[in-house]
Amino acid sequence: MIRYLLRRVGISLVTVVGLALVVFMVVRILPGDAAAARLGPEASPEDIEALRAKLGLDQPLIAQLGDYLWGLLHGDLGTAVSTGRPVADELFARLPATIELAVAGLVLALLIGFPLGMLAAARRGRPSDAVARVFAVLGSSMAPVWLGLLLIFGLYSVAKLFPGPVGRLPIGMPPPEHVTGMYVLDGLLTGDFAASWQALRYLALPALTLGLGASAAVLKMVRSSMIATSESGFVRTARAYGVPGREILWRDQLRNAMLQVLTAIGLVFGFLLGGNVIVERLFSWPGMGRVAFDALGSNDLELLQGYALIIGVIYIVLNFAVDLLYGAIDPRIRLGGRVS
Amino acid sequence: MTTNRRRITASAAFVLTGALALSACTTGDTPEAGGGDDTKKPLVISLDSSVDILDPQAWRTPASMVTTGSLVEQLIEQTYTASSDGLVQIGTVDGFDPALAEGYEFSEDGTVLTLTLREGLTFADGSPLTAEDVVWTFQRGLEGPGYIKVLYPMVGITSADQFVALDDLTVQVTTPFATPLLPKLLAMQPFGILSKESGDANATDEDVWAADWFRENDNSSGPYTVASYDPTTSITLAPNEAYYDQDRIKNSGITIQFVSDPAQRALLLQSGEIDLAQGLPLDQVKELEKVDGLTVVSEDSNRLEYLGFNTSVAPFDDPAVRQAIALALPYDTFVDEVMYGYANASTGVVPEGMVTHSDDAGEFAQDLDAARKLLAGSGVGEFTTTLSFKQSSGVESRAAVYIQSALAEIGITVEIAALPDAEFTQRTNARELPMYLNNFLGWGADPFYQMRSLVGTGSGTNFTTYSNPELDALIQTGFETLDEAEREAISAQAQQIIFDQMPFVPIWNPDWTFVVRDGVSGLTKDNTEQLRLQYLTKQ
Repeated sequence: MIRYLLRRVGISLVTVVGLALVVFMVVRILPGDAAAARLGPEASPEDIEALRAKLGLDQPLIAQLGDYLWGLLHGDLGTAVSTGRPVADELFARLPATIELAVAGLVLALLIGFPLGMLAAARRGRPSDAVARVFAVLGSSMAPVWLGLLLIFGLYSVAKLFPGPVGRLPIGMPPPEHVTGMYVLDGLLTGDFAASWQALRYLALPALTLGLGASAAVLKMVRSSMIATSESGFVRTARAYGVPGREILWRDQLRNAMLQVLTAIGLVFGFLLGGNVIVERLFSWPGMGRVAFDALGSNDLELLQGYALIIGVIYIVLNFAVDLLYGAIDPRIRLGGRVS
Repeated sequence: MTTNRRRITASAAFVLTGALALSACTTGDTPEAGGGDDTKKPLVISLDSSVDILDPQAWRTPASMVTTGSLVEQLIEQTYTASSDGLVQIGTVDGFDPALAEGYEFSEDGTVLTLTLREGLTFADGSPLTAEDVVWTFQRGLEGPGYIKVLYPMVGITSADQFVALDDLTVQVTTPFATPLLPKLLAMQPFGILSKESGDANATDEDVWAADWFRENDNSSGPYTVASYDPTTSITLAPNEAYYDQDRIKNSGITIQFVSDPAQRALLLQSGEIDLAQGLPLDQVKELEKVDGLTVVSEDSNRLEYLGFNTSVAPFDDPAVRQAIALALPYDTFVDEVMYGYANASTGVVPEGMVTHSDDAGEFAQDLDAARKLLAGSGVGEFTTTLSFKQSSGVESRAAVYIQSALAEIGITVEIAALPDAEFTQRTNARELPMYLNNFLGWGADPFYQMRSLVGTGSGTNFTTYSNPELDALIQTGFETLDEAEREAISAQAQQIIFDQMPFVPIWNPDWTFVVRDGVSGLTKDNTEQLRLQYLTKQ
């Protein structure tokens, strides 16, 4: 197990270094001058040169790379061109909002996608399966921005069931005392249940926008995995021995299907974290995605670089976690397939 | 299988129950802000951008200009007159009222401006506001972190020595020539007064002007202080108790909610969650005119939308080609179809509403025959070019199609390129786009400021690369002339040159437009065309 763990850690670290190199190179290849962007159109060439020197942009690429990696080791992601604040501060301050939204989206995706996937698999070829598959097609083909607009119009503007797209709390309401930065959780931890409840209400629509789309992926993966295991030899054998269907479903089919489902969950969560830029903008959600969107508009390559790096690292950590869970679910994996 | 179905049904029911529970509260639970005076109410507004930083000399978004302009008070402010419906207070051309300065006077030759501060002024922290603060603020503007330093040379200020504190209450500004632009500059938000004491206390060897501190903090000399600020959510401003004239603050606080999607801004306005919205799509504004409880506020503006050329590259280096294009454009269509009526058709580089506008320079009207003849006469003939604009601009995207169609009529094939905003900005700064749509607002509502910025040699916002020493000299003479008749004559001559040379084509002046809930008034449109928040009221 320890060898397995060390191998996974090693692979993850190499991937992080590779990611940092790719992000560094991509930002340098893109057209644009961070110094000119920061100073604006009225800046004199002398001012731009002076800032370039201050930022180290006049150094050879290899020296810039060295500075960049050294900075990364010390938690320095550079300075945001658009605001002059440290990139790490800009992004990490928004990370809890992004995580809160992604987790809520994932929970909804699982609550919707998992039972529907099992239902579709259990009733394969029947009308309920067809309905579930139509839902899956709709969910995966509908752009989040469109789904979000529909939900805002229908559930906020017309039905007035949910609050409007103004962020994480009602206008003017102070956030709960900071513990994790995730308002629902912080409200519960500090006893500020009113804030927690309001945060949950304002979380609902953006989470539903993300969750409905992601639930389609979960549904499809659960359905196909369950169908695959239902056709395997051990299930047929269990049925032949008269094992009750419920027992086969929950004990044999589901556990064996979980490997693929777990992969899907890891991917979906990564997608929810990194792919919610549009949803955050639509709902004025103050997460990292919205910061990245604004950075695109202001040509803030430093901020975009930091965003790409952080999201990439989160992906890598998620994959690492999924790999560990594989090992927990299937001993053959952690022991390198040496179980007879 | 029956049990499975029950469990699955139960799961689905759980999801639905949760969703219904979350939705079981009504919306619109905006808390009331504080404020002792019951007649003053708090407002929640949403502008066309968010507030990036709190430094009045270094912000980058229009909403920051509005906000920081409320955290610093200027020495003087424009005199306002009410619009016909009484909803808007419009800044007069050359009238100024006292603000921090109770009075000001120019020397006989107009080159020395002496300002006298009110007695007993303090910043929000209680420290006295003196002439030293004024001088330090202006010096910071000239030498510090912001980019307003580009404005000073227009009035002949190039050295910090030109600002002198004569005593605690008296400031003297000396310029090499008399210019009516100077008081206009002093009334602008970025010239509001900062605390030298705060600056000194927070300066470092590498940051002598305390840019880092002012980016995040304020020690207000203006009508508000910051009650709360989250750069991605909202900023709430509370009345500054140390402000010298509480009666000037007509509300009990302002929250600016950052709603990035304009369509959502419109929805929030309709539902009553916000009181005022800016930057809404014009088709939606048209629809909102019909909605009970909402009022569309729209006034003429000096903002100029234009079709720019890179005059250094063929075929746009030929004035005849540029003239031909100007003759081919459908100006009225732009106003009716692109701007939904919320604009005025082009009247020139100095718009009709700006002082010294000249009708004699030439008319902007479509004449395809004349355009074809001019193009043929230039010897350039038919050609293909690219028209670029910001991807985020809905109006420019629609205008581009009309331009493409109009220029096809005279044999110019236009390929449309909607560029990401950042790329557009960068490529216009690099002067590498052959033809592009862009817009400009000269803060001072001053014709020479306008012309210098758009076509002056070396100006940061002259993206056309056009350079004409004769025109530069004429504009400079205009800056240095006080006599109104002379200014008009100089301006008319400059406008004529620009019309004849046509380095860009002014195509429309978009209206200054807001949508407010009924009962909201006190909108102010000064030379910078940004709101002064202290005058907003709600019934």
